[in-house]
Amino acid sequence: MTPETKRTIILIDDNAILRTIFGHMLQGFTDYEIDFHSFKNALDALDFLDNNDICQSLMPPILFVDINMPFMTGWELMDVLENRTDFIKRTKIFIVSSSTSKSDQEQLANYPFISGFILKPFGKESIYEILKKID
Amino acid sequence: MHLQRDSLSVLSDQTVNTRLEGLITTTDDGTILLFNKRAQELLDLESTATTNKLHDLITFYSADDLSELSPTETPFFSALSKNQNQNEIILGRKKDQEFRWYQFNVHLTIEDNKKGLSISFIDVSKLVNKNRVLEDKQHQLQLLVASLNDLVFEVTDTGVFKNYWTNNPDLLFYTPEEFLNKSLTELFPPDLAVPALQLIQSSLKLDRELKMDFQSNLKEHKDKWYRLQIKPIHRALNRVALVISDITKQVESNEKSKFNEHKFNQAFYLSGLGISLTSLEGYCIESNNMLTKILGYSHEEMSTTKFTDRTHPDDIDKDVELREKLVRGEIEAFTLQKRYLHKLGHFVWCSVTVAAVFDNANTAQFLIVQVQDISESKKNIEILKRQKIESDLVKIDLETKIRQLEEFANILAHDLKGPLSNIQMLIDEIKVTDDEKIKADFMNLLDISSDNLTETLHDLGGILDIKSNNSLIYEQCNFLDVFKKVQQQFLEEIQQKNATISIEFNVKDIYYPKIYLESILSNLLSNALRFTAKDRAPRIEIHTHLEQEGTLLTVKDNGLGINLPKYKSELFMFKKVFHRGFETKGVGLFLIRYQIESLGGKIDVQSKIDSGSTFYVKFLEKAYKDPLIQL
Repeated sequence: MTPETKRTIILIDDNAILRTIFGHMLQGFTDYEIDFHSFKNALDALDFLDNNDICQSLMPPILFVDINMPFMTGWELMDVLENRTDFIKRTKIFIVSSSTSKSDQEQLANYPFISGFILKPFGKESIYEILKKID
Repeated sequence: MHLQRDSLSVLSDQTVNTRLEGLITTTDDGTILLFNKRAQELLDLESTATTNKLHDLITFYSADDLSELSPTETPFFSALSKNQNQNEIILGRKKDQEFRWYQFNVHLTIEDNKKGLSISFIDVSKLVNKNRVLEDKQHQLQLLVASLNDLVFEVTDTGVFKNYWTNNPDLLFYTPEEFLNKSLTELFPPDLAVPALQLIQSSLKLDRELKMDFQSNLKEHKDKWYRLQIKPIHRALNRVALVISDITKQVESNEKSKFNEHKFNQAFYLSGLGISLTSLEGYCIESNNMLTKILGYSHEEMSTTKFTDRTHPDDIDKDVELREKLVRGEIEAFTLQKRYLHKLGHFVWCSVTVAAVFDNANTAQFLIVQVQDISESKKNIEILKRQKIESDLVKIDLETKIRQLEEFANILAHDLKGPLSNIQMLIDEIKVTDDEKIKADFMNLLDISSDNLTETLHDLGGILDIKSNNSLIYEQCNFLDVFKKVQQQFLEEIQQKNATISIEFNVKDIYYPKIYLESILSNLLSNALRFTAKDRAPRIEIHTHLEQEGTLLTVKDNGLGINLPKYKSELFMFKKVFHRGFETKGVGLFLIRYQIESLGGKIDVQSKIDSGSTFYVKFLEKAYKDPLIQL
C-alpha cells in the first residue's frame, strides 16, 4: 500500500491514558491502514501540522480534539483552523469531551465545519463506525 | 383872576394851614387858585412857567388797576362835567417810583357866578398799601388752596359752615348755596355728624388740633376713606377750620403694608425653617423659635455672639467667603451644608440658605439666613453608605462563592469525569479483549487512573477543608519567621539555580492562620524558583507593605513570565498549567487563591513574558474585617 491510501488520524487530548486507549482502539480496526498521531496539547499538534502535509492521502484525515486542555483549548484551536479553509475542507473534525455543559454545546454551533461531538466515555465501535462511514 | 407872586396862592388862614387835609380851590378849567400848606406838601405843588392847571401839573393813577388817568377821567373833570360832587375818590401819584395814594372829596363851588372846585384830600398811602399787601396775601392763599386736594371749611362751634376753600368745587358734597350757613347735623347722617360735632367742641375746649378718619357711606364716595381735621381758629372765637382730606390711597397702602408685614411675621416666626436676620458683622438681629430649637441658643445668646462662634472650624472659611460674595453683590444667594455647634456641644448638620438685603443705594444692610436641620438625613445617608459597604462585601462574598461553585462544577466535569470515563473505557476493553498483553497493559493503566483519581480527590479534599475553615487558628505570624521556615524547603533549588532572594518586611507581623501563610509563601516561592529563565540567575524579591485596607505581600521574580492576556482568567484555576515543558500539576495557585479568598483577601498578578511576574496578596485581616462589617 502506498502512503496515499493510508488514512491519517490525529488525536489531541491532554489525558495520557485516553491517548493510550485510543491508540489501542485504532489497532483493532482492520478495514484500512491508519497513520495515527496523538498530541497532549493543541500547540504541539499545530507544530506537527505546520511541518507535515497530511492532506496528500486520498482519504480525508480525521481529527479528534478534546476541549479542556492547557495552553490552548479545543475551541481556541478551532479558531485557528477556521481560517485555514483549505484544510478544514479536506479534513473531518470531531470534538471528544466529557463535558455536557451548555456553553460547550452552544460553542459547537459556532463552528459549522465540525463533523460531530463524541461524549466520553465511548466504545471503540462508535469510532469504527466513523472510520467506516467517511471515505 | 390874579395870580400872586408865584402864580400859586397859598391859603394863609391859620386854621386852614394847620389841617391834615390838603385843600385846593380851582377855577372851572382846573386852574389852581388857592391851596394850603398841607396840599403843597402832599402834592409837591410848585409853580411852573407854563401852567398852573391841576391836571397838567400832576398825573393821577387809578387805584383799581394802577392805570394812568387822562384829565377827563379825573374826578375833577367829572365833577364839573356832571355838575356833581365827587366823594371818597382814591387816586394815586407816582413819587420816587412809588405810589402815593390820596382820597379826594371834590365839591363844586359857585363864587361870583363863577364855577369852581373846592378839593380836599388826605394821604391814604398807608391804608392802600396795606390793603394791597392783604390782597396779595389773599391771592397767595387762593393759590395755596388751589394747590391742595383738601377741602377747607370755616365752621362755628355749633357745626354751621361759614366759609369754604377748595381747589376743585366738584369735591364738595353739596353746592355752596346748599351748605353754607347750615349745620353739620342738617347735612350729614348722625353717625358722621355727631362725632364730628363732638370733635369740634373738644378741639375748641382743649384748644388743640384733633382728627378722625371715616369711611364714606355716601353712594358717590363708596368705600372712600377721609380724614377730618379740626383746628381752632385763634383770631375768631368759637370758629374752627375743618379740613377734609381723601386718604383712601394712604389707607389702602397702609392696609397693604400691614398685610405684608403680617405675612412676613407669619412666615418668619412660624416657619418650619430656622430663620435669622443677621448683621454683616455676623450678629443675629432677629431670629425665630425654630432656630433656637435647631441650635439650642436663645435669641439673646445669638445676638451677642457671631455665627462663626457656633460653626464647625472646617466650615467657617467657606461660609465667610460666600457671605462676602453676597455682600459684594457677586451672587444673589447661596446654599451650603455646614455644621453648627449646638449649645449642648454636639455638631448639627444643616442646610443653610443665605441672601442679602440691600437698601436703595445698593448697600447690603443685613442677611436673611434660613437654616434646615439635615442631621437626620445625613445620619440616614451615613447608615445607607455603611449598609451599602456591608452589602457590597456580602455581594463580593457571594460572588466569590458562586464562582467557586462553578469552578467545582468544572472540576467535576473535567478532572473527575475524565479519569472516570478512562476507567470505564479501560474496563470495557479488558472485558472483551483476548490479547493478554493488552489486558496487562490496560490493567496497568487502570492502576494509574485509579492513583490519579485518588490524588485529585486528595487535592480537592484539601480545598474542601479550606471551605469549611471553622477550625482555623488565627495567631500572630511573623513574616520573617514564616519566610525562614519556607526557605528551608527550597534550599536545594536555591543553591542549584544560584537564586538570590531579597526580603523587606515593612509590616512585620500579621494576625492570620499560620498554616495558610506558610502555604501562600511556599507556593509563590516555589513558582518563582521553578519557572526561571535559562539565561539569568533567578532574583526574587519578597516585600510587605501596609495599605489602606490591610497588608500587601508581593513576590516578584525575573523568570519566564506568563502570557497574561491569554491565561489570566485561568491562572488561579484548578489544575491549569501555563508553561510548556514543565511537569506541574497546576494546583498551587488554585489552592492558595482559595485560602486567601476564603478569608476575604485577594490575589493578583502582573507579568510580562520573559521578564518576570509579580504576585500581589492582599490580606483582609480579622482585625480589619470586623470593624468594617460593623459599619
